Amino acid sequence: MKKYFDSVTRGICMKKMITLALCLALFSTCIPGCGNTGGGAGQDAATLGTDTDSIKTGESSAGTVSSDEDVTTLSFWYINTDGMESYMPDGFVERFQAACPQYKLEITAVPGSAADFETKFNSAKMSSTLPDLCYLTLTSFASLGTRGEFLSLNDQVSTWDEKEDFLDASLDMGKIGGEYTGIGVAPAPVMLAYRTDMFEAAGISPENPPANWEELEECALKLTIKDDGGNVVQAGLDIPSIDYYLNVSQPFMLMNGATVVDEANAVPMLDEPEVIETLEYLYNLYSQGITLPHDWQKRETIPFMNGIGAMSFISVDNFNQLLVDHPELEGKVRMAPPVSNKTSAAFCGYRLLAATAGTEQAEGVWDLIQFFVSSDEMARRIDYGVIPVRTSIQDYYVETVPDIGQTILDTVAVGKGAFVVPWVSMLYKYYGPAYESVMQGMATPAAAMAEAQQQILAEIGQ
Amino acid sequence: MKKKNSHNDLVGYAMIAPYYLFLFLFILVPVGVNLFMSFTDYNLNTMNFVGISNYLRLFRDPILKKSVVNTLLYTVITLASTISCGLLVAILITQTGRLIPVFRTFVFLPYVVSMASASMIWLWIYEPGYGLLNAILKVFNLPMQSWIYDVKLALICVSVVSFWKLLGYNMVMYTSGLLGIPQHLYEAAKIDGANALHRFRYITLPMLRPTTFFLLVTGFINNFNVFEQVKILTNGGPVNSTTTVMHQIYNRGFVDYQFGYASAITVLMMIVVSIITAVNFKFGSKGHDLDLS
Repeated sequence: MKKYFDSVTRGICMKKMITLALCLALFSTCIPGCGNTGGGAGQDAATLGTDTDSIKTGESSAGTVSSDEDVTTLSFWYINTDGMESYMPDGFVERFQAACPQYKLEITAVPGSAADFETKFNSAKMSSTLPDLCYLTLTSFASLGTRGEFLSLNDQVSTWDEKEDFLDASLDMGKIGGEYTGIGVAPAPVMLAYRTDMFEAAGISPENPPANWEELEECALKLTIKDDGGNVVQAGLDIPSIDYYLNVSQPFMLMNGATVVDEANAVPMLDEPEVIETLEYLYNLYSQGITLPHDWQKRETIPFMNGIGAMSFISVDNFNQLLVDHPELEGKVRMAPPVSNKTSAAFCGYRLLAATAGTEQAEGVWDLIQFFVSSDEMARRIDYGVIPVRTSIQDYYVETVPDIGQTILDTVAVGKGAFVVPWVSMLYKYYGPAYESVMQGMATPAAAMAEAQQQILAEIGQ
Repeated sequence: MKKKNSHNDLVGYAMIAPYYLFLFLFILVPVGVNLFMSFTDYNLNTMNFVGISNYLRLFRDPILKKSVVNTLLYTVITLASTISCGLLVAILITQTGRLIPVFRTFVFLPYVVSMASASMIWLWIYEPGYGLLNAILKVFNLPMQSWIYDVKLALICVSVVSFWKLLGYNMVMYTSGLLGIPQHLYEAAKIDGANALHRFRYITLPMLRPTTFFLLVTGFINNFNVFEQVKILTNGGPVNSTTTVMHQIYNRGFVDYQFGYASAITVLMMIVVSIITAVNFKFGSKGHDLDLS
């Protein structure tokens, strides 16, 4: 009997021990989720640009700043798009560390689209893992910079002896509140591209692309081809149905002498007559059926990029990518000089360098910026088609890109990118649907722009 | 006995504790934080208490009103089509046939594809210049359409994508329900002279009421959360004709950095979905409790 009770007791103890072990095992699965994963900038550097070279980072933990006795770590976020202006030449990290041995550089490739970049930036901010320096688009710079996310470089740039070698636009683009906050280092212009074979088929000389609005309309009508059912099979000129970031409508407005946004006073001017006239012109073209509906932000939807458009305002990136995707178009596509109406203008995005407001390595960041924009480094990027902002090496750029180099530089000279105002997201939010309502024929340009103007003013509290 | 029960209770609580800890930390706490944020003007940099001004703004926001209308329209279109067609397809596949399993697989396959991937595919299908749909229309000499770029068609296009994806799931649920209906009810009805329509109306539909109720409740909740296909296909356009409540929450929070207002919209959505779910439970759960033994 005693043996029986002993075995039962041992069984009960065993049961308790197994139960306890299972409970501990279950609780232990919760522990990794509560741990600090450290760092936050996330991805390792990836292949950038059209070259297959990759970038070597220092350590694996990006997004944190630390220093030991002799070496200070600088973290650098670099937008990773497939555009050439995002290209980072091979060996950049080694060259910088050789030139500035007191620093160790960690580069992280981050998403290139404005929305994705800002999401990542905000996540890093909330986890206190922001980098020291960012290489980002003008759209993101405007959105984040006007919220005070970047350090003022006014003292450094104002006394910089190399400042005179830079395009005025590249430095002015980076001003927030009148202070230099970012440095524009790579323009991303949008230019009129056209198919020479389609021009010839329509009886238009490819040597004389349209230079003003009248010629543009004339060419667009001649180049449009429709089938028996009236469906457009070849678009004469790509006018987007959706132009959320004003990539196409803004340059037309500027060509017409419009202000669009008074950046100095931070007020919208969507209801000015020049803006309305511009939309009337664009709607007139659109309603004549010279285009196919598309979203300019989605490259794959642009008719010109799919070989069914004769003329289109596209970025130099897209132009280069078209030639990569369709090598048979070599020699059949060109980019035209800036079109004008009352004045010459173009959309010209930028990639900028900006130091995050919380960086503890302001001196190191400035050293990195100076290295990045040095003549040598800029010349290396020219070899891969990156447009320089230093006037001293523009001749080298024209030699490297003889066909369209000068045309691109002329466009950059008259180019204007995203507006740098605190409420720039409101501009896109209300202008986008207003533009779409005009193109859909649901509202007149005057009514649509008046409503958008009022909505923006109401939202920004004016 | 009391001591043994107490011991078992402790073990039970220990076993379910991880789940409830997860529920508390990742569901209840965020809901509470969200509720708190809805009374502030949090924009990632500053947070000031603003009282109920975010809630008052809900009623003045024309885009939010449009998004609520769009969401309701989308829900009605998608639910009505997926439930009715899901039932029809389920009835068809309960027939015998060698190809029925293959058909069932193909109908269910879209459900396992991620919505983001599906939306990318449909973006190509809807493409006006070279998309599949317009290519088919062209073959039949029909006028090509702008599809997602047309303000009149965009919401229907988004609904079609959801219908294509969810049909298989509803089919599977109804198939399960149909197989649970005793056959002797149909046999008895046949003997009494009921035709196919009568049998469907007086036997099949009532017996499927619990399944329909489940699909309605979960469908309402899921459709009110629609976001991926809207973001990828149309981004709420053209002219806000496809923006939904969830899309507005995303835009207000992560594009405009108005987290306080976005939180208020979230609270509003929670209340609306709760009311609809409660109504469904009240009127939809009254099943016919037949003693089928």
